[in-house]
Amino acid sequence: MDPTAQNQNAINDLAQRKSLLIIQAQFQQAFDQRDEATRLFLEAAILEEKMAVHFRQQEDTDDAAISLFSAASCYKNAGQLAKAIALAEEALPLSNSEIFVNEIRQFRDACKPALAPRTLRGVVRDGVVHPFESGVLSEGDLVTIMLA
Amino acid sequence: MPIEKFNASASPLRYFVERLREMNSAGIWATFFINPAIALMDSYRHKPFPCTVMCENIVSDVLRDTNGEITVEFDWHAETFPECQRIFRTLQREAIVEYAAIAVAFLIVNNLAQRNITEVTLRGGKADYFLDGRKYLLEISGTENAEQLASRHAEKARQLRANPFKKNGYVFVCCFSNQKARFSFQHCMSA
Repeated sequence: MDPTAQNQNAINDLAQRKSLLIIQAQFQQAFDQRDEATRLFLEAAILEEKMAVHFRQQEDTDDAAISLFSAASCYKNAGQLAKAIALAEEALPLSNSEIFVNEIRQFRDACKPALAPRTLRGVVRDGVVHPFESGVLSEGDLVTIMLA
Repeated sequence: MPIEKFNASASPLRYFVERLREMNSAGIWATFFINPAIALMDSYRHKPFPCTVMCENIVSDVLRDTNGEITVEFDWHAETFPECQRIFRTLQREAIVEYAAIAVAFLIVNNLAQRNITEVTLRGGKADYFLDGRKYLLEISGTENAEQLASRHAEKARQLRANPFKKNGYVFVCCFSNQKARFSFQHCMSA
């Protein structure tokens, strides 16, 4: 099989797998199963990043930008804002669409304030911090630990 | 379980919701929308569930000798989701309506427009559905308010024409309360 066809097969396979993960993650979100949704969004983000690599190999920067922005959106949904911002930055120079570039910029700028540190209270059990508030910890969160 | 095949000569057209399993066999992600669609249509006590689809700029043999309006019946096998009404206890009705609209949209796009639903991407909080690789986009919306059908379709059509990917595509909006839907092909303004 020639490399172009091989690359396209890899893209198709990744597209199917990450589409399933995104749909599953959205369902888990709708059912308020946040931990499972987070896990699925992270898995989907990794596959989207791999898709972007394949598109770049084909010198298809527009599609690479679509996949990178989708990966960034998955990371944001998973609470990993620093990673979301980094991928949005990576996608910006790749798109030839001014409208899309503006949308990516807005997304990136909206992520930045949310990255500011929050103070959460939690408790340590078996060496693991469990926040009292529902939800997951994000990068940059400050945790006040109460030793039980 | 037997899955009925599409038959263009039948009148009205009847699609089994379970066909979503065949349409997306490699990734099977389309199957996630089967249960919400069955639950919502079952809640209206119509089996099969009839829907008048008003088509605009759609090229299809099925629409030959029509004024663009066709009636489609959506059916399902009772054993697919026997306790379907239970889903309303765990999922908000609004979400079920959206998921049901996606199921119906996939069936219509695949059968009427002969397009394959190949990929889902995220754009911020919004899911984008791509057809035939990344050739076309699909905008979908569902409602139970009959007054919203035209305005929702106009809004979705405007969004598609202004999409940042510069892709042409399809818009499908379904109103389950009056069993009407609008399905159109839109050209991107900047394509």
